[in-house]
Amino acid sequence: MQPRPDDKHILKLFHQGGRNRNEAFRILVDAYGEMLYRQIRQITRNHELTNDILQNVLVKAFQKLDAFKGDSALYTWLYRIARNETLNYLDKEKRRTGIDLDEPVFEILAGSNSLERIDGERIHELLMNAIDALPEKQAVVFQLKYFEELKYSEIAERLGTSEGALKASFFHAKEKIKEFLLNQLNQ
Amino acid sequence: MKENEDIFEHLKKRKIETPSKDYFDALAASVIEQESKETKVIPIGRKIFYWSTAAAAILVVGFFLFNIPRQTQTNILAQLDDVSTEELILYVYENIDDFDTEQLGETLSDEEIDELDEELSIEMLDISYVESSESISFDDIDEQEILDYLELEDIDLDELENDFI
Repeated sequence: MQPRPDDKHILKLFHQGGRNRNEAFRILVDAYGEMLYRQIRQITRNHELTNDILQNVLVKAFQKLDAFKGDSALYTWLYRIARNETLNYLDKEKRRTGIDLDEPVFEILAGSNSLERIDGERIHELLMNAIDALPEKQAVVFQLKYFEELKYSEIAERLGTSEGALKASFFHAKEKIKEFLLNQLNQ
Repeated sequence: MKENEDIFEHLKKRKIETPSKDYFDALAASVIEQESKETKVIPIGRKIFYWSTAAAAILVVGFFLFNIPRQTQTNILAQLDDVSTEELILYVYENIDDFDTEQLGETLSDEEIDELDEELSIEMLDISYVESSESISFDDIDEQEILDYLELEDIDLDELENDFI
């Protein structure tokens, strides 16, 4: 297994321009493409829409990477572009009507008395809304820990944050999601 | 739902399958190609005049290098050896109207233009002609003079504005 490419290396190569710029972009897509794809598809639940949005995200990343100052981790920056692009795309185009959707990402386990009257579609929608309402840092950590199932040490390396801070962010994210769901379900 | 209940204990999440590596490679290649095309049009069509001159010179040299048979090319290149880069740029600049840069550009592949760009653009920009152009100041020219000049050259101000937006 090849070591994960360093963000600084990608940026340095990109800033060199010409063929190095293209090579840097290929490395970036190789490193983050799949994660961005899953992030988008868990919201769109459709490959074609995900494909369109991901293409837009990558075009924006290519165009704006020169201006990226490294104030956040590269993944955080890409996550932000993907989140905004997905929400804007779905909001503007209303393209989810009349297309085949994947199964909801969440399935309610048998024997969950308190959730037995809620279907998977509803819980999926609520959870996506809850995640969308999280502050960006917590949303990124939740995405990497819960959906991507990365270890804290891996997330710490990617985001340049301490494991302790990540654990706190993940805890707060889960608490906010629970609170959001509680409010919605008990209305 | 109870207040102290952990909802995540009642949920099972479905794994989202991702397409193959080929899909992501193709996506990256498609974006690179799309962006390369867009950035190539700008220096030829809209950049200020010394950029047009440098681009035209690159294309002219590229046109000779890639499109003329090797035998003839050697002769031309032998003759070009006697011409300095500054003289070549000056010639292109003075005869810019004789060159159709877009047509010249179309004869070169993306890779050839990238190669030429990398090899020649820095050198072209480094010559004294460009340096002197960069030192031109518009502070001493009043607005009316600029408007008169645009009218004399039959340049539509609205059209010009659209080009720079």
